[in-house]
Amino acid sequence: MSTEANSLTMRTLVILVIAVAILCGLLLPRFLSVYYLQVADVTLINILLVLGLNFILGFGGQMSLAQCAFFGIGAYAFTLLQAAGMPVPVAAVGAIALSAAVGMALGWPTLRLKGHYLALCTLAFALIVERLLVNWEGLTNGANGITAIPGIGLAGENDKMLWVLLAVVASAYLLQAWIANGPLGLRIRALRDDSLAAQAIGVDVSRLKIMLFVISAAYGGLAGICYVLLRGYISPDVFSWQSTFSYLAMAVVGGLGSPLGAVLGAILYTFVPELLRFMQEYYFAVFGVMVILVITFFPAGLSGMVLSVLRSLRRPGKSFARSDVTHHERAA
Amino acid sequence: MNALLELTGVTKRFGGLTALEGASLSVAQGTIHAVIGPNGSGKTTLFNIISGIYIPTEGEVRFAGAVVTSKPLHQLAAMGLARTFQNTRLFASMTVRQNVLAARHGRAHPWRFDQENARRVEEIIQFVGLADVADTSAASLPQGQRRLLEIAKALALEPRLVLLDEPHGGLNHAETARLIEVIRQIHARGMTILLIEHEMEVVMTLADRITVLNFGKVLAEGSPAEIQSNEAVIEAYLGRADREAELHTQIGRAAEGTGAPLLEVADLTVRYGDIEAVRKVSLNVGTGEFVALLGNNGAGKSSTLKAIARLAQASGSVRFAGQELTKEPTERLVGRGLALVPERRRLFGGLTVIENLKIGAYGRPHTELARLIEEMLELFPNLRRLSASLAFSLSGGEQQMLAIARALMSRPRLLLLDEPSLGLAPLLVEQVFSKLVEVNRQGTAILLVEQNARMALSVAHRGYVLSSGRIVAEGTAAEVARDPRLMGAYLGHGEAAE
Repeated sequence: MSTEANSLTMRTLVILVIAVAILCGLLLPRFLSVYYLQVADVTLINILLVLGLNFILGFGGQMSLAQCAFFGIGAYAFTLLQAAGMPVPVAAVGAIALSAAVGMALGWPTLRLKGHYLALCTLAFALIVERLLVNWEGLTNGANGITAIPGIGLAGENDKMLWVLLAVVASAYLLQAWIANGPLGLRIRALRDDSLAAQAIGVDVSRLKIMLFVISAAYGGLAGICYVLLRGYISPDVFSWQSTFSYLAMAVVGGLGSPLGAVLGAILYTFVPELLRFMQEYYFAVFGVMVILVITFFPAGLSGMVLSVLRSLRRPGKSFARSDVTHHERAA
Repeated sequence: MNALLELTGVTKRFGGLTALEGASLSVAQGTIHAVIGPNGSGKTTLFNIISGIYIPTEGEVRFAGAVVTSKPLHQLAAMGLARTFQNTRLFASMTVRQNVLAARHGRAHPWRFDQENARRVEEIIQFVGLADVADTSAASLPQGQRRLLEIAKALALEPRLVLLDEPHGGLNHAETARLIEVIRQIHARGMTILLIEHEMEVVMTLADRITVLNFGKVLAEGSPAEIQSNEAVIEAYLGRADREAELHTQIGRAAEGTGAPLLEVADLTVRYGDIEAVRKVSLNVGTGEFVALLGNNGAGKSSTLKAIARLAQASGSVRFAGQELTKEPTERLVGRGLALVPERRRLFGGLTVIENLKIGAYGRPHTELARLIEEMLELFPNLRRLSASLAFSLSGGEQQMLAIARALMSRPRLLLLDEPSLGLAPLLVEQVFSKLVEVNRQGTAILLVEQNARMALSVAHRGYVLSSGRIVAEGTAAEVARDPRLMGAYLGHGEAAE
């Protein structure tokens, strides 16, 4: 992959992603009921969260379970900053910055932790944030949440929000794909593949781990802002610590270390249960079986499945999203 | 001479264990310097200290004039010190090209790789000879190419000093030749090289200077010729000549046996992936005989033993007491009278001495078990005192005795032993060996794999010498001990071996 070829494939990817986003924006409102359109919007927010998780877990191999906390911090910070009289862009930047800063604050003390220990520690952090949102009533209005948040005046207008969210998700997707193939992306994947070997090629592993927390948290914060814009109200239960496992499942089912996987995982996890609702109380059990099947038979996730099909159709040696392909190959 | 890397009085202790003691080393700019030493002599610890993975307990490391004693690995990499790892550490999710490109991250624009980097990466891949596989996944490479990629990653840093940790490990002949060529060319480009290597042929052909470690201390330093003729070095590798005579008079030689064939191995070949660890080895052990299988690290001794015990996949024929073993499942071998004492003993650490012994005779009736245990405690009086202790709390020598006793519990006709002297002090080694002779005199045949050649040959009846997976010498113990090919197999007097 020479630099030229790289920018070429990146260009193809940009065109492809924008085309898909526009297609979704045009077609979805036409075919989906109001309810399902809202599900689609939530799916997009979930994609954003999973993309963020993908950085630290998928590419970096660091088992963080704090994604729901950054989601909450972003949402509440945006709401409160707006309530304090700041204009929307300033509040948005502030909310993302705060999420990222908290991410850094979490990354620093947990540097030495790995695997289960890091997972437990980040989960404890998620729990703390949720408790704060519930109990710090003076700031968050407690369990009742905050209603009638002005945002950009599109709360509840699912069709218009769809465009906003598509734009945000498409940008976030492309940013991830771009980072993944550059020096930073290779550094992150080197950390995951072999942290000692990464150090041997001069990677400052500590700094990189903190950076991963920061980027993941920023994506989480952005998702929080999107949620506020979509709904116009927030309450702590949206950001409950249990929900973090949903994002984890989306990332794993979709395929770790692949932006495409984040998209597919979030769609499967958010949309399919809705489609299965006719099964009433059994629907989540059926969905659970599906998840088990995917994880058992396609360890590279849905994206690995899709890409291997695509690659068998295409000429060998030309693939548009390198990071996806190689991760899939490794898992295979 | 201008020293690029300098270690003074470096000591490293892990709890009670001293891995390195007062080691000093000076690597001159532009040389190829090798560190050699028997297993467990502290070579890897030394490398880990130089590359900042360990912080030494005492002493100082200087690189390019600056003290770098506690600098982390990534900072050293940025200063121009690159290293490879013994068990190649590639980035498995990346292609070959991405592996090399990743090593350029520090020289790239923060967000993208420019033309200059892409060009340099192409050049390095070309240089080590991986151009054909540049776009394949690093995880799918065969061993030889993995080694080359490991070196390519180090070169991509454009270092001043390259540390190569056993670059030759597990390579075939052609791959070794290619590797030596690559190392020479790196050197010709002005890089200084420090390498750890077991294969003496490689060391003797490449190195300008050699430092020998033994028991964590620097035993000798000099040119290859000086090292090859250094009496202390020969002793460290082969054992002591005077000790041999002494031991011999003390315990005498083992039994010759009855001469009837017990174990007949023919054309045994063991492959690990594309590496041939054992190539068409044929050997015999007679009933009641004591045979030593000798050779340097990586010569294929353990693999041969494992193949006989059916713990490694092999082709060829292994006949035991007239019956073909290659089709038998491993667990049934014990019943046939074959017992293995594995390398590093493999005791059940959480069980007591008695429990470990009982496992050795699993399935026997109670009374017989008690009798067998009593017999073992008589043979190894030290174990009686320790009978209720947990195996992991035993000292190295005691553990070795227990491992042998456990194997004997099955009343084997042939005992296979893998490096029983490993990690033991000389006095304990002698104790273990005299026990083996005692066991042998009671009628058990022994096939002993051993690095300590002189010691093994002083008690054994016959011997075989393995080198690079082939038997290069065989005969009675006295014949083998005098054979120049024995020393060749250890210290790489390559010409003598031909």
